[in-house]
Amino acid sequence: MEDEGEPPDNYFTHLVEKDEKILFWFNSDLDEKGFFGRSYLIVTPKRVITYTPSTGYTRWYPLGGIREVRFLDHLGGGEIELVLKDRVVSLIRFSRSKVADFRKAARLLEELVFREVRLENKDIVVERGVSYDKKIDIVVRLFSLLKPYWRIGLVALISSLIAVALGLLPPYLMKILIDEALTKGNIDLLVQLSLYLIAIYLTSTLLGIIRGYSLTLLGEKIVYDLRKRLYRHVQQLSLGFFDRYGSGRLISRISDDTSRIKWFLTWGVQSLIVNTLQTVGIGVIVFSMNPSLAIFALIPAPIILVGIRYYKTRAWRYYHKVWRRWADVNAMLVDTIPGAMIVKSFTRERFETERFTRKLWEVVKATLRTVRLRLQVFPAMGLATSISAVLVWWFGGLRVISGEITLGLLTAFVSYMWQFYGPINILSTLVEPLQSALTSAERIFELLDSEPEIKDSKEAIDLEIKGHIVFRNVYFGYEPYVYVLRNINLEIKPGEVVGIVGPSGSGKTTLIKLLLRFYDPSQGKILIDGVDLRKIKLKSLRRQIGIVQQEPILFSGSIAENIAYGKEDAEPEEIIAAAKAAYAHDFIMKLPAAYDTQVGERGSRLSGGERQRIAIARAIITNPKILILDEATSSVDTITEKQIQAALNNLIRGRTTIVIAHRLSTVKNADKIVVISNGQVVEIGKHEELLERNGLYAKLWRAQFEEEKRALKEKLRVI
Amino acid sequence: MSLREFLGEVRIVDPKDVKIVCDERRNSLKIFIRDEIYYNVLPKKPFPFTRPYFIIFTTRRGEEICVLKDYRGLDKDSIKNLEYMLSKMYYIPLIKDIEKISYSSGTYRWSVLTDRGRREFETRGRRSIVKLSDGRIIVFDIDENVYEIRPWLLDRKSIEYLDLVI
Ligand SMILES: Nc1ncnc2c1ncn2[C@@H]1O[C@H](COP(=O)(O)OP(=O)(O)O)[C@@H](O)[C@H]1O
Ligand SMILES: [Mg+2]
Repeated sequence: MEDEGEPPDNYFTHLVEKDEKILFWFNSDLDEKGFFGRSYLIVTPKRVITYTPSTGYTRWYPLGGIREVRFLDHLGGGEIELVLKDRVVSLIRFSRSKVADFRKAARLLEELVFREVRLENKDIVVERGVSYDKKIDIVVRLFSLLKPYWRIGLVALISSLIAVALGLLPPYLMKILIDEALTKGNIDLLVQLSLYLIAIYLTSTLLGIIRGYSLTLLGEKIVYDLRKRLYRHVQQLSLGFFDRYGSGRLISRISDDTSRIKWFLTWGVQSLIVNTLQTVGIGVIVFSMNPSLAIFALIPAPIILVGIRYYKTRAWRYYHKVWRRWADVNAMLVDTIPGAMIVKSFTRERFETERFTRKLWEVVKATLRTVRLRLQVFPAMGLATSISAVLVWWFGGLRVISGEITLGLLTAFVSYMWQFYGPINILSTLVEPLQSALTSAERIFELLDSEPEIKDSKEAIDLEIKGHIVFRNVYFGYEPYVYVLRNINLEIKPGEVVGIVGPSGSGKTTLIKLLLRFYDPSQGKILIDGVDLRKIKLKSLRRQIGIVQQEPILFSGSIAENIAYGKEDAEPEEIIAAAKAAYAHDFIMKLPAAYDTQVGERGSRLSGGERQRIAIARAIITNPKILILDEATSSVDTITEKQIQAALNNLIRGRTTIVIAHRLSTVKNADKIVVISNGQVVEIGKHEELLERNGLYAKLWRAQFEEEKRALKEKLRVI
Repeated sequence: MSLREFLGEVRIVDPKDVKIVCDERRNSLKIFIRDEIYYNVLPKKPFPFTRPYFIIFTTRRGEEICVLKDYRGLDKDSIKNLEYMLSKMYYIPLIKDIEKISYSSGTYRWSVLTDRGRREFETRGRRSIVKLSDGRIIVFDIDENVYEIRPWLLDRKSIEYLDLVI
């Protein structure tokens, strides 16, 4: 969180011997006593060192003596613990902000100690986003977004400038009107000036309309372009990017940040220019008309500036507070109205009513505070302006009487003065949104500049897949050297059904992600029908692999749309056939709107088993050559599982199929069962062979068998 | 089974019967309960915010040994040893002064002084701040760090800042 200036390269040299190379280091935000500060974990080929610069605290342990590296998750922090020959020591502590770094540190340390991986320092560079040196770069790039629409932009700008100029004219005409027409009884001039004034107001109004519309048009077009570009770009990025970036952040880039940019490029910039010009313009006019009167006119300026600032800082606070109190009230409504049954069954009606009343009262209190604030500021500001206007009339009046200035000039002066404070008010509120728009722009450009890591190579081909899959010496880690898969060797023949089992977290899903080429292996290769995955067009590859996941994601839309997701031009009878194969047709037909039923957000209106079967239908309709079922039945009850199992059997026939299963009974009949543990293939064989071998599979099988037996017994006891 | 039977499974011990020392070789605690000794023991707080003095002792593997309803009844040394371990496992700095809270697009940025030193952090969303019934406030930052606030210990300026977010 805090500024993390990196120490220079020679910062740690006094800690290590002359030829002892520093492999990597991580910095913690806590010292050894648990105070915020800075300490380091430094690893060399021989030792691991902890060091707190401020206190000089240093400890080191030889890598050879480490039996185990433990990463401990605490509340509000974390710790790495080393198990040595004869004791356990606390190596380093850190806050949650550093957890990701140190989890990596612990993994790297493990690799180093137990697998003797040779590490290169350059591989462990902590990633940093693209950063722009200058705000100017961002601004320039922002304005380049305007380029395709420069004509509209120009119209908006010119119409604003003319409007500013026109806005400065009326008081001046007023002056002539009073001095020349009224006092001298010149009726022709009076008529002429009145007509001018009407023309000016008419033009201003027209220009206002033109400006408003052109700016809105400009804004909408730019943000449309930008969102389109961002979305298309994000869709093309690799899954690894989504992992790192997080979907919440991506969503806010596409929706919020673009809105802020729209505001900046249209109203923000325009308002900045117009209001500055107007302030300067009036200032110049007022001072050139009569410098001493101008001083009086400026008296309320500081009061107004202070008042506006005072109001702005608090207003946001107070209004936000009202909003938060309202949100509390709403949250309670959302909980307790649909939950009325629970409230009643626990007879908590009075409790809830009292709680609600308290929250309502909080809303009232917060609202009253905003009113008090408004009453504090605005009347005072109005008073200051009025008094200074009176002062101008007073002292200006004396000069009019003494003949120093004309009545027209005084009148014009006062009306310029009234015009002066509007733009100042606006300008004082512009700074913060302008800044936050620049930050948004920076984030968006950073996103637009990121490149997909996985893309088609030039010589990539379309391949008609038969379904022969080979993993050859495959290593893979989501982060360098932190391998999730190690030396995977595996062959799957066309039409074979292969089960993959293993503890959760052992790397089964990761294996599938590699097969779909969401990531490339760090080492080794994957071949389909003898062709390296990297030489097959992504589209061609993924179109021919069907996948059903444990918790399938449906998109909002109808059931039919969801089934047809993988095949845009699906005929209605194909949709029905796919649903029948997935044993989904019957339940769909029982719904009043049948295939046109809306599934709700992420399929929320359907049960888990129903969603699962729709996902299966979705996989069937594409007629994939390779089918992957990743724990497709583990989240449903046994009856539904039987149906889904039957659906799956329909699906499996005649395709290369990979079934990842939690319940081993699901894969019992597979042609081949692959047992994965801790990222490695530990056993391969048929069910019976593996039982005979009495290894991990046999152990898992027995454990599950026991568990099922016990569960059955419990059930009987309950009955 | 009735609730009473389950209660039998919770072994509540009297703090007077318990002594706690550091288990230096294991980065954990050693506890003596009358004539029993347990090595490699870790203290866990089942209610870290609402009942911070309530402790369950477990072995490293998570088997429960006993429950202390309020560890403040222990002798001084035991408290010190226990709190040393707890301060690592429940790292909840107490905010003593709020120097500034600024807001920008959905994120509050805090600069505070805690009993563990100066710190800056960010919070987002209404769920990041929890008011407890005794008036204390628990703050979770975007990295899942946890801070405690006792409003009655704060000066006026800090309270004003706090008012921004609660
Ligand atoms: N996107 C990711 N980034 C970093 N680590 C990941 C990611 N996905 C999975 N992992 C880690 O990789 C390991 C294997 O995960 P996974 O393949 O999902 O296991 P399985 O499917 O066997 O349960 C786990 O330790 C998991 O934490
Ligand atoms: Mg998985």
